[in-house]
Amino acid sequence: MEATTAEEEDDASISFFMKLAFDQAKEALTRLEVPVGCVIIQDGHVIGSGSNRTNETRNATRHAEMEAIDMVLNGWHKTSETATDPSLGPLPTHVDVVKRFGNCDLFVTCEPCIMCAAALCLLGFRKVYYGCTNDRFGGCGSVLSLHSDGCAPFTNGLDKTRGFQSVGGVMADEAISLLRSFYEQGNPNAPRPHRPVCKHHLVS
Amino acid sequence: MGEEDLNGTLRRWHVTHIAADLETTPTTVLVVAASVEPKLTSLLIRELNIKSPLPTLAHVKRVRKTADEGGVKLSIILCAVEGDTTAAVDGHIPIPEHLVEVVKNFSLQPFVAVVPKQAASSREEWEAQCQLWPTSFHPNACTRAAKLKLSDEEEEVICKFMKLAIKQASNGAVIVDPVLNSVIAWGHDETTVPNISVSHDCHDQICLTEDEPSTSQCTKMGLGECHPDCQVNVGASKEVSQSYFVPTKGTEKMPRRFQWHPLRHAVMVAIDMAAERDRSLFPSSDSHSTAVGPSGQQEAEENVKSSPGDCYEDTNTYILGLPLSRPYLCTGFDIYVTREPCAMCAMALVHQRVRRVIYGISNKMVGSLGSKYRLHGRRSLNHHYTVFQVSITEDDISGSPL
Repeated sequence: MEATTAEEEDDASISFFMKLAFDQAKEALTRLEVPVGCVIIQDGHVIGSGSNRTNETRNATRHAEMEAIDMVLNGWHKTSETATDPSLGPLPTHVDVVKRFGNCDLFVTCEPCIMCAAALCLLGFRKVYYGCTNDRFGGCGSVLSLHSDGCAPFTNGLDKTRGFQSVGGVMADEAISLLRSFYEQGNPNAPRPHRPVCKHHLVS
Repeated sequence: MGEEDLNGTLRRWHVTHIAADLETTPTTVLVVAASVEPKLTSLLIRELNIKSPLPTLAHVKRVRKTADEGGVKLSIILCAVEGDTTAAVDGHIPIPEHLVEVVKNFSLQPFVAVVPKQAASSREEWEAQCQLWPTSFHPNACTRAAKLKLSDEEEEVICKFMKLAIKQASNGAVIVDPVLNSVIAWGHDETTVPNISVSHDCHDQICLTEDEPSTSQCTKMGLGECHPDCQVNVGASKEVSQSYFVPTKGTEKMPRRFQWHPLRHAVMVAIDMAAERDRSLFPSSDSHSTAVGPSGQQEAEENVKSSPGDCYEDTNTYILGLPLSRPYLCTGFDIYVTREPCAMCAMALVHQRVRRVIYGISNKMVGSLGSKYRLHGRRSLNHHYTVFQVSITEDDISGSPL
């Protein structure tokens, strides 16, 4: 794990972009989704944003990061469509995509889960800032450390294992209270518990 | 399976259970314990739970009860022996500073005891553990390191569905409802530019059938159609028809603007299709887009009452004459995938709550269900599926269409 702490970074721009991620998260809350939001930054500009859509899509993989990534890829696709050179094809090649994400940073209100952390490795993100940790699913140090272990691309012949710089704890308290406000209201899509929740006996 | 021998019987691949934990040899750790008056026990427990919690020994019971001449004798664990344990073995009892006062107040006579380091993985192991110190035992978790054994019939079904995944692509996946033996969704790796043009508007260009259906029975279902057009021989005699849900062109769906996507591994594609099927089959329960407010709260409660898993009778959705219940994500479904899932795909399947993951070829570099990681053994996750591997080879999948 990288030893970088949030304090060492450019605090003003970090909190500026993280606040934008929070705007996304709050928007998810109004749609009764788990409030996690995300923005993707390239050269100081927001090129992608997104928030959880797992309930709406019935697809538990539609996390904020995935939504923002798809927005970026859609944008690049559109740009290449209008390009005059037909040899560019419908989308830049895999190598091009990885090269472009190598200049991108991602801000997300909660630590990326193992799935998203692996996806961020596959795409070759430069740096990831997150709010609160995700003790149950986190892939940037909590359960697995994919940002430092790296994750080799699956099939495309790029065999170098990649990781990314990970900076946690950016506005963590705000992230926790936002998540708490959601779970207090109750997740309407959570499955019925298998058995009634009972108090844990300290000693039996 | 894979090929037929001269007698026409199917020669099967071998199916292995990939246990959630590697087998471990039982190990023990030292703790400081003390006898305690039964009257004072509850008071002491309360104090110790605050001052000296034992997070790494959650499987160990804090109090041991032994029959003694003249009554019951209780011993209680004060703390684990930290750091250098040789001194403790030599008779020196290391009492941490924060417990010195407790020992004094309760006039305890500390001694060193041996307790099991890990929770028992079998009943036999648990019984052996209790000789040392009582532990708790959860039979549901006891198969973590033990290999599950499948019946011949179960293995045969698994091999048949694996063959369907291979028919998809060398990098293919199918999601199966094991109760109806029907295919819910399928997909193949879309991370590279395809050589042949594959349309994403309609999934029905991918044919999983071995034989053309003799009769085409199309039942109108919601926004799409059900094609019970594939006969898969399950078991020795009974034939169960496969229901394929095919989303019709032009229906509302996730925008898919590109021919390839760096994250569209076969598993992710199949999950996407399962979600699409869910949305098309059960559009009525898609009522979460309204804003939160006083009514939003109420709506949330109503949704909990008619929670997923119930039958949505109002949708008039039937398969094989049975009312179809809306799944919660992929709960209860199995996924067959030709190659071991990476961390992204393995975690996606945790999120999607599949019941079993059956994969083919291991991936030493990134495989996360036994090779690089053993994700299904991570206790912190909120869902755990069972994992099997089918002994297919690169030769078996080399003839795949994609």
